Amino acid sequence: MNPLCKPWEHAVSRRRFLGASAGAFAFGALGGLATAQAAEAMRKNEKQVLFVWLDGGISQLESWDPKPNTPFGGPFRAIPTSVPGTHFSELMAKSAKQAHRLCVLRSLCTQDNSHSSGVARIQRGDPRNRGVPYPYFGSAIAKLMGPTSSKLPPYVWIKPDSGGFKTEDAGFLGPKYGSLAFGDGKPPENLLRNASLAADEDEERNELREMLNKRYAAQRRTNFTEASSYVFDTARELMRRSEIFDTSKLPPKDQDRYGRTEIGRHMLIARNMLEAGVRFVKVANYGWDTHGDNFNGHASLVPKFDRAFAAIIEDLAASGLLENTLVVAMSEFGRTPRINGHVGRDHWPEAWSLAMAGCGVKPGAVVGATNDNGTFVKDNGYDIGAVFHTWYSALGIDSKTVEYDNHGQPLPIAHEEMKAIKEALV
Amino acid sequence: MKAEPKDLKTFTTDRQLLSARFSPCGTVLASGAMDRVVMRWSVVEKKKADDVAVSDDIALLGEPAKKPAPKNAKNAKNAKPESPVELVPLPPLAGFNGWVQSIAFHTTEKLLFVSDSWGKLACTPYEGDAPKSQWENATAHDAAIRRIAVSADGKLIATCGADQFVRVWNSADGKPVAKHEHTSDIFVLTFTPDGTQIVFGDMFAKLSVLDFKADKIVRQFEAAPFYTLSRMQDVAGLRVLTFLDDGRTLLAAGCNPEGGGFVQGVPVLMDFDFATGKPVREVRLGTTKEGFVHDVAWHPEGFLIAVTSGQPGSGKLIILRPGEKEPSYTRTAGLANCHSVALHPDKRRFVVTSTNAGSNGNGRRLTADGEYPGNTSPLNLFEIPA
Repeated sequence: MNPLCKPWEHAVSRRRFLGASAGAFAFGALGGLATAQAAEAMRKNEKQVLFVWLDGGISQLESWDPKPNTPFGGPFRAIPTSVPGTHFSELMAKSAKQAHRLCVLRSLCTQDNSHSSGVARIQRGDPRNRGVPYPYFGSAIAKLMGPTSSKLPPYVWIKPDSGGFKTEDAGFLGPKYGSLAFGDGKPPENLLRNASLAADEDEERNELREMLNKRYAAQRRTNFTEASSYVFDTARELMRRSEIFDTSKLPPKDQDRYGRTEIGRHMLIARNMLEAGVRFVKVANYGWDTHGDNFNGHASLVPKFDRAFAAIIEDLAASGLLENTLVVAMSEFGRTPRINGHVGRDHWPEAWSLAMAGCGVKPGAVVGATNDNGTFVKDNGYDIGAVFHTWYSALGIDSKTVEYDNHGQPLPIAHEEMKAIKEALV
Repeated sequence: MKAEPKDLKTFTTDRQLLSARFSPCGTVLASGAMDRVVMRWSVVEKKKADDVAVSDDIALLGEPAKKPAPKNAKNAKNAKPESPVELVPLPPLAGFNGWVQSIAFHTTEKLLFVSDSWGKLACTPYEGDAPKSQWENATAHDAAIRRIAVSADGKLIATCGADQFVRVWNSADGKPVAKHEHTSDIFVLTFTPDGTQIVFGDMFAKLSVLDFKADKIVRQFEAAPFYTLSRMQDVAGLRVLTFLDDGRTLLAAGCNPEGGGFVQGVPVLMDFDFATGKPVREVRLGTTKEGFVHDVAWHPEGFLIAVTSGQPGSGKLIILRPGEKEPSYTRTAGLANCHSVALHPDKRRFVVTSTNAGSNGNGRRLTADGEYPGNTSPLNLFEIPA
């Protein structure tokens, strides 16, 4: 029997729980540590991850690896960065000033040129086929590292559109390690305590929920009920800290710095969540599949990403959190050097880039290179399996020895034929 | 025009072109390219071409030929030897950066104005093997210059760009005459026929009438179909702004975008009564896969020639008459992704730049020689029947 939660099973159990405990979530007095204290605690010893996902495929040529004045280089200039000799696209003016904190990998060479397989394979680290779906990076970290001492959910996904609990990310780890998704930065529907419900009533309802939960659990597989209970409890903790995602409380100055855009708002919420102690925060942004009018598209999109990305790097560095936070910005692939008739770029896994920063990562480094025209990598390219080893190593996880336990079956956490990219690590 | 345009010949090139135009004297065709040059061709009547022993093969090459190219079976197959006109490659004009996005000929002198995507503006003779610039300004704009317009008397040129500026220059020496700072990326502009004002269109499809001497916006009106916000992408659809007839009608053209990324959208032409700013006609030229009207040419006999480019492989040549809601002629065959149309001053011939077949595709695709190929822009020469 497949141990994975089916969507309808999850929907039923969630509805039952919510029906039995409508409005039962504690929400009011701030629990836990205040933001500054929590941030201080995180600074000391807890590793975190910020994973920025630009869905559809940002062009490496219009971002991290410009090739101006070459046949496929496009119309934009390259600009110097804070690292002498390193240039980014002129669309990345703010990130260019943070280059001394970034590590740019310019020689990604991966396997998939379609979204349907590429998104999953990249975020799962493309392990060898073991007959089971591997977890996305966020779920893997939730499993391998768990929540921080903040007890906040270990894997939060800030995304456009709708939210909810996304179990599919967890793969064989089971639904417990799925992501708690904030659609447009907002908490899942029906999670907040209804305003008409007093705190003591809420507590009573919560007790009822727990009782029903136990009764329900007795009739169900542990896997499912554990997941539901776990999500409920961690979400409840998050609700106690509602200030971290309340967009009405985002400081106007910060909103200006991050940009009054979707990605700016989401990145600012991500900063708050990292400061509060969420272990893994994924910020997803959609609309990067620029098969047509690529250059006007990137001229609109990249500066908005750039502003938000540079601001959060700057803020994490200023607060000291960057020392213990691994930051990654990437897509499922890059874009073709060849410019199609619709003035677009298509999918290109052959030679593309990502950016990293923070804990364990070598600041100011550029790892790997593409050829003069940006068509292929020079020397050896790195597949995503090597990148996963690199990330685990940066987070202090020995990816060569640590294994998953899939119901007794030991499974490597990253592709066993690949290894970490040493040049990218401190 | 009473009959369909007749194909004369298709000339292959070896690069992607952005903006083709004939010189007012009709002897030179020029086009900005995606690889920082201006390509040029000498327009030669076939009889003269024969006299100077220019082979079809030379004319078929975009790259200036140092010596006659060997016979090529593919080129020979494509050639339409009945063409009365040949386009004989001249050496490209170099010294630019990024993309040469816009060019414009002087109305009376043998000069070409050229702008690039790094903000450079130059004025150069368009004849000769290696003409020396009359003047140039490497920092005319602090971003891509999207369009050049020349006043009717040729004394002024105006430029607009991604740096949100309109700038006006003395065409003789390149000295700045006026400037206007806008609030967003400016995609298109044109002088009013009397040369006293400039109309420009921005990313958000707002059209502004500028008294450039006073640096004052006289009025503004919307061309709303040419913009949408798709997630966080501002999708700008304006590509053309030009006056028709005697200046009573302002034509805006481009794409009514449905979404970003792929940029699905319908090619649209909109006529405005310039006196009131009110739209008087909107012509939609197909489905959302057909993209943009990229360029138009107004024929003095009273019709419009327009070209479109949408999803790779999609392209059209259309003829539209004033007041009509449907094109009187539409041609798609053999015309993938058309980006410009240039009307020869003889009013009988025009060139459409299109894109080679199979221009798109995910992932690795190499030639038999293992090379990673770029795309190219064939030049399609048409004749308008008398």
